Amino acid sequence: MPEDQALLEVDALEVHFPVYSRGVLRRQIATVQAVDGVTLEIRRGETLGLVGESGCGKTTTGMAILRLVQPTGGAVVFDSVDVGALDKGQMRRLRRRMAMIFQDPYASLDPRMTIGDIVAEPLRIHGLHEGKEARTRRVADLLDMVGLNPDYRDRFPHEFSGGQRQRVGIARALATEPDFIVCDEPIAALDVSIQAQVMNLLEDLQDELGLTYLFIAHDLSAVQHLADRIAVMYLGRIVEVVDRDQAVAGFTHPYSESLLSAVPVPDPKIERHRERILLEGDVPSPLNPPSGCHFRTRCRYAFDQCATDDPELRELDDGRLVACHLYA
Amino acid sequence: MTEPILSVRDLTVSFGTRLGRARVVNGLSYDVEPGETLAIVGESGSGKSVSSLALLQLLPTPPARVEGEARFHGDDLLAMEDDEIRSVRGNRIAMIFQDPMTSLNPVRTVGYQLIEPLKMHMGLDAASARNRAIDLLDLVGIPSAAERVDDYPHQFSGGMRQRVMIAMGIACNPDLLIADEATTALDVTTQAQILDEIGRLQSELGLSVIWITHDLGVVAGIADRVVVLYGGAIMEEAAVDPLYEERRHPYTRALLASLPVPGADRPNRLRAIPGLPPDPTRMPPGCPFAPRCAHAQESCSQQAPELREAGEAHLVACHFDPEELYA
Repeated sequence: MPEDQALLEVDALEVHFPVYSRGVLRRQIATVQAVDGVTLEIRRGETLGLVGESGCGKTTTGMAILRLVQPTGGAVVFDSVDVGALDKGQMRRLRRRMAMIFQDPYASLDPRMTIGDIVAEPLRIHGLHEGKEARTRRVADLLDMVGLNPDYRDRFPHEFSGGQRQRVGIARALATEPDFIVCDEPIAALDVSIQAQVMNLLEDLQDELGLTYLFIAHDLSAVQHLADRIAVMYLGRIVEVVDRDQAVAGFTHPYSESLLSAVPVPDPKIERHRERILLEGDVPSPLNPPSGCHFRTRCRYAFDQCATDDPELRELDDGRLVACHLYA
Repeated sequence: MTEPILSVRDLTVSFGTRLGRARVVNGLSYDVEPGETLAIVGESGSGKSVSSLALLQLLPTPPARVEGEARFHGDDLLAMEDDEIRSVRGNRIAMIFQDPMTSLNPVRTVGYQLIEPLKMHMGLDAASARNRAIDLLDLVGIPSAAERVDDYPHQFSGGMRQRVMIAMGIACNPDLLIADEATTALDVTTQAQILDEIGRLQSELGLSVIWITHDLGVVAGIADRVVVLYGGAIMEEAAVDPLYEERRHPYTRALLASLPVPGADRPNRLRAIPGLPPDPTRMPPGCPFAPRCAHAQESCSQQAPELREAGEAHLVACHFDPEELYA
């Protein structure tokens, strides 16, 4: 299979949630534009990092790709199959090849199920490794793969620490041998000394199993470590996509720039001399995003055109994609 | 040298549990100098939050048992009667917490919640308390403060709510502000705004700050001095520069080394610390970090190391000389 081939193509993906009035008539009075035309490509075997702040639509993007929420527009093409055109049965078969790891290892595991049952559930649903013995063996393999003792299979989630629970969530995601995993803030809820353990595990599994990741996070330094390419999202749209090497040199879009400048660096000497680009105010509501460029209300370079025209994601000379009129 | 405004000595906090007494804070001692920012760094279970709750008598006793001494301008906070500590709390020492949604009363306007302490602690009348509340909201950077003062907490974003918390914190001109993971729930751009705001207030009002966090990046940016806690005890204490540069304690060293470094060449694996933080009900004898320490010897799991001087104003709790360990 060619190396650089896209495993997943997302084209102008849109997720708009209707807001209804109260009362019997329930008229639709507004629309939350959670994801507003996201275009992305994820190559086989790579990690695409998706960063942005809370409410920017990064999790909804991940869920819409897996069709855990229904997109209201655009297309998702997974391994040359248009996911939107599939019926329920076809989607279910395809979903075996996609999985998700969730942020909160406390909320994403059923407290009444043993971890063995949690990891076996996808196998049961998809009818894989049928037979008690085969399934037990598979569960043991999976637990072993994520660094948990298979003898723990009869224990319940509350008996484990946050990092161990996240390993259970990873084992569950791996159960159906997926090609593609959406990792939604998988380390955000973990202690600092445990985050590195889980990041290393995700990298090792990728090397071993040839996985493709969409790594969603608000923590830019984790994304810079793990991702091959980084997409920056603001208020429902992708504003910049760069290779990790380029990200080291810096970002180009005014929002990515300020995001990078706000990430604290664990070095007092650097911190003391660094220039922070402080943004004014809050992120506007996705109920009523600004016209034109969504970032213009907080952008220090904004000019007239920014209020009237939507900037398109364009490729610059160095290959990075930027949606900004400054670089048109 | 000036007198420290807060001087904590041998603070020990334990809880009675089914499994026996859990020592969550174990003989903690530190000073806060006037105007300085002391960062207390630790992971969950290190005792960083519990130790500061204990200072203000905010832990229910029992189940908690608090021992030691905490002299604030010379008076022992831990020995104070209810009405004494109440006149200090929120007045001369303010505390802001991680989650601004659960720390604000959802059925009262922000103004009401700001005005109450002003009337109670500062004896202001309703009109001047309201004016002061508006000034405070303005001071912490809330736009159109005069209108927003009558809004309810749910009408504010997370960052704005945290600003409201800070406004409440500084309302009575405290000498000391204790911020417990105050920016952890916020986005980085909002965090940058808040840190900037606190720095400004600190230079304007001469506040001392205890900043409790797990985020070593934030600490590098704001702290004058750093206390590194692990398993309820201080592992290392120093001014911020020597702490990050010299990393004398194996835990500090391992923690800093486990962080991803932006700009590092091809992602080599992170140097993760193996194992888990200790469970306070089953604290290992000896050094709490010994089970995870790459340099641990037999003696480490037998006897807890004393916090000792290792360089100028640099304290380390380790049996070994860092020069030899990392040579």
